[in-house]
Amino acid sequence: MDTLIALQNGFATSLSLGNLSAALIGAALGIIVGAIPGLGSVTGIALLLPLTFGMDPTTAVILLAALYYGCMFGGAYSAILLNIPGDAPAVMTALDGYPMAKRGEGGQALFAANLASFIGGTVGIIALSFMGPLLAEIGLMFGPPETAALILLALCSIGWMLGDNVAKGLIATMLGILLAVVGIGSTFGHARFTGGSMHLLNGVSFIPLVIGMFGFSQLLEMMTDRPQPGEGPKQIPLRESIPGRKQVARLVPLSLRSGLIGTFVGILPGAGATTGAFLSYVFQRKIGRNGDQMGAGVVEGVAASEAGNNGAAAGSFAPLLSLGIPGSGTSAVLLGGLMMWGLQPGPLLFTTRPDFVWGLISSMYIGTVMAVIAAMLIIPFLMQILRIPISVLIPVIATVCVFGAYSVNGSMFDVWLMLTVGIAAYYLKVAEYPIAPLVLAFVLTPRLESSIRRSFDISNGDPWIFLSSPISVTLISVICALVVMGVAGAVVSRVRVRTART
Amino acid sequence: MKHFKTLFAASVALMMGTQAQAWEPEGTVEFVVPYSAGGGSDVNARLLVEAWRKHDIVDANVVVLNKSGGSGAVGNTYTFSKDGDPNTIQTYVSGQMMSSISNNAAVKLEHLTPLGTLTLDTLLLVTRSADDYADFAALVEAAAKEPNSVTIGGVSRGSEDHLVFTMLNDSVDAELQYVPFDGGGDVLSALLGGHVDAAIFNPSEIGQQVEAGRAHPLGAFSEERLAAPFEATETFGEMGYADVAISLFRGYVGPPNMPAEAVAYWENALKEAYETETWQQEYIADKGLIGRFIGAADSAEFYAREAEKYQRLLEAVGFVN
Repeated sequence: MDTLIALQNGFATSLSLGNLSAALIGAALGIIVGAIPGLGSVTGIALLLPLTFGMDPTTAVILLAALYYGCMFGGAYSAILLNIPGDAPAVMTALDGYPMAKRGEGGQALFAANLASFIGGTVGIIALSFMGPLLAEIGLMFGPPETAALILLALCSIGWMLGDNVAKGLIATMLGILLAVVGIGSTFGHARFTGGSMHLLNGVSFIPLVIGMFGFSQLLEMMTDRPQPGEGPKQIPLRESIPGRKQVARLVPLSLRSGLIGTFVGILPGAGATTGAFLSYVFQRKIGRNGDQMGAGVVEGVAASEAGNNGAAAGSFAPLLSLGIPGSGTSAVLLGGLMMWGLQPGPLLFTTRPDFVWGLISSMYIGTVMAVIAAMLIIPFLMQILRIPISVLIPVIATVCVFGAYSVNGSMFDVWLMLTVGIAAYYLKVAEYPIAPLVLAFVLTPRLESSIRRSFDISNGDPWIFLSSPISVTLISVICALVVMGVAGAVVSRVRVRTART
Repeated sequence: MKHFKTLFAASVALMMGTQAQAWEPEGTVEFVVPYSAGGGSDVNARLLVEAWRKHDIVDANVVVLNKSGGSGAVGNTYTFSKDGDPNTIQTYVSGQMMSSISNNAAVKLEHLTPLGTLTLDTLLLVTRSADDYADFAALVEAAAKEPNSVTIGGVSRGSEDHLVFTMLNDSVDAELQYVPFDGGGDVLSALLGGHVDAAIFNPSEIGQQVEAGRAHPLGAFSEERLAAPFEATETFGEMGYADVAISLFRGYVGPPNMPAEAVAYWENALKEAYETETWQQEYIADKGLIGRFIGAADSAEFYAREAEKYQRLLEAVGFVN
């Protein structure tokens, strides 16, 4: 009950005219920043942060929280419309969103993404409001061995996405792992596979890699198989794209579930929104209706990914507010903001500055609502992108790709990297190697490596540490069960095929 | 008309004045922090930026950029790659210097341009609660029963944390186990979650947790006792481990070949920030640090001397041969 009263007081602060307009401005800016590939919520908040120091801390944080939420919405747009995920969590959104846009169902994908983002985010915020400190304590239970097991589970479940050709999928996954180990290793500080290049010491940059893999290879595909004039897909008009009651009923339960999974992953130290989106997606693929069609362009895929990453975004605030530990890149930037505004983040923040904490939490509700409103107003304009003739679209996408790759580190090396990766990915696609497993393995591998090494340091080389807590035992049993079931399933179906033939 | 003339003269004077002024950063300045957000260097950089902004010392938009990994080598390499750029500055602490020596990293002190030093700092050994280990002797006792069973978390291998750990480990009759993490925030999660038995922090990283009763200091790696909330914490010297102490510097560097006028500008910006009340109160006093301004040239000399000392220490503990 105390929570409700505190939340009410928070709303009293955040519903003032000044704070409401801060939320709307933040949401609109966030959608734009999120939709531009190469700019993400971390950069957006970092750029805006110095401008907020003159403001009242609560107004400032409301503006930034709204920007954060706007980014989460905006990130899906470039993924759906151009197949260029603006940041890591949107990779999963592109998997189904872009095929839908290609078929002329872009509007549906956009609306589904908005609806799911809203639901997933709200689930996360509600969890944060009522169980924030508890969630943070649960997050602490995940030490290096538990984190390693969770990431391994995520890495193994890539197997569910491999489709028909398992061998090609595994090769793509291995390529991702190989690319991820380039650079200075986190454990010993030694350079690996850099070929003496200074630019590779920091590893292969993620954004140029993703832009190349998805966006630029897409562009090459468009150029090589040009559709006959007048043969392009018929766009479904806007009015018919708005989800009806039936579709909403289909999306709500799965968004709730994905939002919960995302929130849970968000509170864990070092797991991140990408893992959240990914686990929601594969979970949906495994248990949901339409699961087997995911990847070919169904709303469920878009919704699971978007609800998952928005839930994770909210979840990452739990350790920040309750313990002063940043759970994501964005909350790390906000941590800096807290200190700048004269607040001491740490376990005492809830008691010393309840006005601020509850003002922030209540502003997240407002931020999400504002983002939805701003997004709904923007969709009709976004739909026009789908009408642009391909001859105009190609140079535009090429510019966006180059700009996005360059803007991350301001380095031409990243542009060359993006182009090289794009061409390589094009040939991989032609040879029917799936791209998504490669990108996911690239994101997950460094986290897996450092948590495994750390676990061995703690146990002094004893592998039993991975079975020393109930959490890691459960996770590892799940991994084993999945592998066994997967192999058994394949064997059974092969035997069946053989007996059917005889 | 007369007014117009005065105005004209004034604006000409203003323009000449601006022209005559020394170099100033324009647009966005990147302030590289080679450790993850929330750690000691990160707090230092962000508070410095705040002091610059609040007192109108630096006009440009200074953006803190966390480039963590490889014990600071990732950030050092990044700054090194900005050869000659006056708009890139970086936090430079003893830990970075140390790891570049112990890892024989490509980018070392002599490749970067020292700009100045503002603080001296130290480290603390902390456990989760007095129920785990009441004092350092209790921790040693537990470790003596089974070698490598007591784990101590800290920032990456070859770091300042690792060095004091090794100095301590060599002085006690037990084998302690070091566990390296990517940044201060990760170490904190592991300590609060009970995944390591104890951990090494800067006072500024752990003060809030100690006040909240979520962490319990076991000993300070300083020559003298620290300010509150660590006033009751014994130094390792007091406990009889004479040489187990470290004095860490927090300084700033720029890329190689940074123009002299930019070095002068940043040196002055550091000096002015040092003198502000924001810095003295919110950083030095609130975090229990030792404030000291050392200029660019003196810092270069100081760092070179420290580098030699670390080389010697690191050889003595067997990190470098």
